[in-house]
Amino acid sequence: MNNILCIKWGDKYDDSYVEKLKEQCEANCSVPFKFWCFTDKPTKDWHIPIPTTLDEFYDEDRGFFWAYRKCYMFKHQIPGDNRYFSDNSKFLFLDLDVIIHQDLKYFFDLPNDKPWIVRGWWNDIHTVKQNYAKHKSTPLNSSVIVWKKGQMMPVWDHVVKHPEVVFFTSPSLDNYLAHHWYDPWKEDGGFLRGFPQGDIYSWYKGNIFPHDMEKKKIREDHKICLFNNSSQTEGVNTDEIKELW
Amino acid sequence: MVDHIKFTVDTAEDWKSALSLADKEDYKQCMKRIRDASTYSQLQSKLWLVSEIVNLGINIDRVLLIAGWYANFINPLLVDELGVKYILNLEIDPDVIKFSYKFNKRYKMHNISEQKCFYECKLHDVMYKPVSTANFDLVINTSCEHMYPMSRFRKLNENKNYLYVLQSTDDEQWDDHINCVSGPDELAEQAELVDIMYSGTKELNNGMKRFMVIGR
Repeated sequence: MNNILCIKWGDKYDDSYVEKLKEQCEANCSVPFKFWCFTDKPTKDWHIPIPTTLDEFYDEDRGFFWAYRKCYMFKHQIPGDNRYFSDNSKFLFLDLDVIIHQDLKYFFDLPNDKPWIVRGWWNDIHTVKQNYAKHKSTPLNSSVIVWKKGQMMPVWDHVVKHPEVVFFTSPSLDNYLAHHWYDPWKEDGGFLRGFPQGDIYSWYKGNIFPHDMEKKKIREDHKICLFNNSSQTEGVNTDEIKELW
Repeated sequence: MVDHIKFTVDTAEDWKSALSLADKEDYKQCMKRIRDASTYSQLQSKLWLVSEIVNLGINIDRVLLIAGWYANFINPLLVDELGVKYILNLEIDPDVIKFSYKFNKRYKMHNISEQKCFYECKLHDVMYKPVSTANFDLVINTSCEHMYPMSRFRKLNENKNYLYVLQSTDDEQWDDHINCVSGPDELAEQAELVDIMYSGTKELNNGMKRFMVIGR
């Protein structure tokens, strides 16, 4: 079974983002799927309450923006929820602030020997390597992730085994994933595999370094446009995407 | 007091070799970091460290460097001033491994019997995995501000009674200084040191205040 997941907590995004994402998926996916939203305010049958077991390890005062709640999706069974996903389930996670240009079937048809994640091709790989030990300039972006059931369990297991160190050391989930589950020096050799160039681009950062870096440009020949922007103040959303829905 | 580093012909050859590698396109990201690792202040803090070990009169054969970066200054100081025979540097950056071997090739030559010291550098995050190599006389971490408190390292390696030399700072202006401390007391507290043999503060040439503690 194909599943599309999203997650919403706090006040950064209003409910219209979830509804719009659901609408976009229904309009752009030619294979059957179920849509789920992990939320801190569940009201619908396709809402899954976000667990809270990791809350105690996250220190907001450190100023890091750690989307650790995404990690609950990686578990075999959602903590505190009795919904069961069959063993052959496939998952496509989408951030709320994306624009879908093309058929999402593509993502469910990808070879599933490894999980897939956004490799931000707009990053200069030399900068990524230069800042690697500083936990800056991550090449990964967790706005879109594809995996089959159980495949991301090692990530969940690692986070729950070392939550204090993980949350203290990595400034973001993307950074954590890039350090522990991806290898910028051997890009095909890590646990996670990046979507190929031409699949996903960034509204605020561009597409492919160095030759296609025009910002705020729609590329409809790509599958998805991302709107998350690390230069924005965390927790603040410009709603610029709404003008393009 | 140790106030200089011995710049021998072998040292010159190794450093030239490291700089030549940094000239290559694939490694152009490394030049700035090599410059940052080669400053007055970097050498100052390593000279301070080795001077205090010399003052304490401790015999040291085997050293573990935690996040020792290129080990371009600390290695010759440990070998020439303290007679250290084995150094293992555990790092998280693959580029650092390549360059630290270039900077220290003289300690990794073919004929081990002719070497003063044997140097290894491995990819290993000490906050996640215990150290598997045999015992060390001294554990040096001059990058405590960049990582989780050292109590974690002690817990992961609890059956090993290491002597520690730790350095850190209260300089919070840098993003990657994720664990600054207020002074040497807090640094020792973070590492749960009980037998403190040295504790001090030094203002470096770049204006940064550094703290150092030595103890078990």
